[in-house]
Amino acid sequence: MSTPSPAFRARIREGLGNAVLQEALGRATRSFLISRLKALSDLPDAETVRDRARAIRAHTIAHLDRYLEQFAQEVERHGGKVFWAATAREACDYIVSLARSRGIPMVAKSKSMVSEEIGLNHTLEAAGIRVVETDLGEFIIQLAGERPSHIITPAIHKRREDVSQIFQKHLGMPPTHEISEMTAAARRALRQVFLDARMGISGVNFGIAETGTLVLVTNEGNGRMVTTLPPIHVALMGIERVVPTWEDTEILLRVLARSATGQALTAYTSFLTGPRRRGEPDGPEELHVVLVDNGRSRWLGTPLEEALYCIRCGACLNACPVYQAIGGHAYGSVYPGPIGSIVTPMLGEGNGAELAYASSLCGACQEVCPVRIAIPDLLVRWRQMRAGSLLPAWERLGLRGYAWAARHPSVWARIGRWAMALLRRIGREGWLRRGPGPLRAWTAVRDFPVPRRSAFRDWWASRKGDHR
Amino acid sequence: MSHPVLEAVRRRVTHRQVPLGPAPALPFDAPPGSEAVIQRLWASWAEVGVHAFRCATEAEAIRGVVAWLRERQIRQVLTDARTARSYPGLIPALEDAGLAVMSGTLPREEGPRYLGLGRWATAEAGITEAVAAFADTGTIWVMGGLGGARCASLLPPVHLALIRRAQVYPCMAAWLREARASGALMEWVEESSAMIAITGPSRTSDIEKVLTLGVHGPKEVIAFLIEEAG
Repeated sequence: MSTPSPAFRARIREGLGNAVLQEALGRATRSFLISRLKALSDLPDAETVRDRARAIRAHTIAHLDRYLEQFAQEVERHGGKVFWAATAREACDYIVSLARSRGIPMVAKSKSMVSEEIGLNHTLEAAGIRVVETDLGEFIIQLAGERPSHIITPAIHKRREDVSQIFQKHLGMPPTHEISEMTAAARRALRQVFLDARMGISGVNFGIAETGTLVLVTNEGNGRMVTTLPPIHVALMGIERVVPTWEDTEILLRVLARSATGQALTAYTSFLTGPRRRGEPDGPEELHVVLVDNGRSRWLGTPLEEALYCIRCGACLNACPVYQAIGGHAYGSVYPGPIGSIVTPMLGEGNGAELAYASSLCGACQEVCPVRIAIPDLLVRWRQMRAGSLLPAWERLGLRGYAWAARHPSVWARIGRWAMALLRRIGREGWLRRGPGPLRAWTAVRDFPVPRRSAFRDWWASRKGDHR
Repeated sequence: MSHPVLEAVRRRVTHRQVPLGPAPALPFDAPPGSEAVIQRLWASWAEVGVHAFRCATEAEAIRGVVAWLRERQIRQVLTDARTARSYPGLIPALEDAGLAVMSGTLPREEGPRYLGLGRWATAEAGITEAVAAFADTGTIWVMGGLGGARCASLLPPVHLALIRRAQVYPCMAAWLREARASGALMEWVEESSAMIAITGPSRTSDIEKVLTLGVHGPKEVIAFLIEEAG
């Protein structure tokens, strides 16, 4: 039966029962959606831009071999080092051994979803290397010992009171409810981290193939700090992030921030090509680009490759009624929300395929997706794949019987009447909240209304004369 | 080039043809340096929180920078050789006004480099030239390359940027088109490890979606737009 595992159910219940989370999610997702609408309506030719953005992503993924190779060659031509990581483990091992070989005790990190995906922080810390997250939201989450709950604002579920407590405890900040004072406390603490760190680790939004340029968008400037101040910069990049040209990148930038936060551009868009050059006064002495596959290449050439078009703006999270209700943690995965429910099982993370059911397939996600990924279709594909492999024999048999009955009207009508009578008997106050036998699992997460009067076909037959 | 990851990609890609469709219109279009472009830039700057001054000449802009720093009682500034090349009068004017000017190169060895960064981090304001500005978004385009320091627009709490009218483009796409055609784009890429599009001060809304400025980078961005050509 297509129902969530007990663990997933427990996380959903926790999300639904958390009033603070509900309020914060409602506020954040609403404001993101309103800003997005305004930003896109201010952009001339927005729909053509989205079409072009989709075509660029589709073209790149269809010719990923060519662009990846070009990208890697250009990074190296400009003095960077490229490491190809087939698995999460290989990526982590490379970075740990690099840090160890240079005797690095602490690294400063800016936001990178791939680093979460591969569990980098955990591996570095297990090797005795301290990792400091420098994005304000990530920093809060790290101090609280939690996981991000939104890909754009990771601490969306924290109130100012929570943040104040965390900073008082870990940074020795005096008690305050002023957000500006909390931000100032974080600035002081993290400024020293930026200056002291001998290695900076960042994610990558886009990698421009023609020049080997890394494109990073940030609002706070921490992305600039970790790629500029430490003598070693390590950039973690999923292999699908590559984009052919600067012009293509500019098109994607036109929709990225607008879809994410409703800004025309984020405060900082960095275009980084290789390490510090001769004659440059600053910048990192070494650049290492870690290209992470971790299951991505397996999906090329399949209908699910479309999920690799994603530019990680988070718009589908904000638009999703399920995400709005349960929050990011309920998904139990690094990538939450509609696109996360597709990507998570692709990357082989945990029991991901059940996430495909955390959707009402309403289509709001596809509507807002800047590259128009057919998210509901892909979710249905996962459901089909999961159903094909996981359905018990009795359920497959039942579905076959259902299909047969649906093709035979008189049988269908008779079964319908029996079912109505049965439902009326076992329902309470007009609702069936706990079904018998195998229905119990289904009704555990859904309430089913008990049919009130007669069947539609009887009602229709009785009124047939009136309206003709 | 060969690697198991690349081989796996090669085995599975479809190489199907994807029609790119019609090119979208530019986000904003008007001749660089035109009054329409300047008006739009001004509006965008107001929106993203860049405070701007219009100056008739380079000399007036430099006087404006000095006056602004004095009014704030700022004593230490960070700038770079690129800016000094484009605006030769800047550093002498700052020094005449009694300001301590840092502008140099970080050593490559770890210890001295660390000490140098520590000194730069004490600057109360950073001054850089912009190589272009984009009117539609209010973006200031700064470069590394010979003498171009990334830190001057990043470490201090205030960033002052000098821009000439002729450098104001309607949008990034228009700048790219010109830079591609002239070959300047590839020259920039070859000489510069960092090209940064700065669109307003450092900002965050990570706590309760409340906007706060200056979380890591500058809290204030001040632009001096110079009417005369360089």
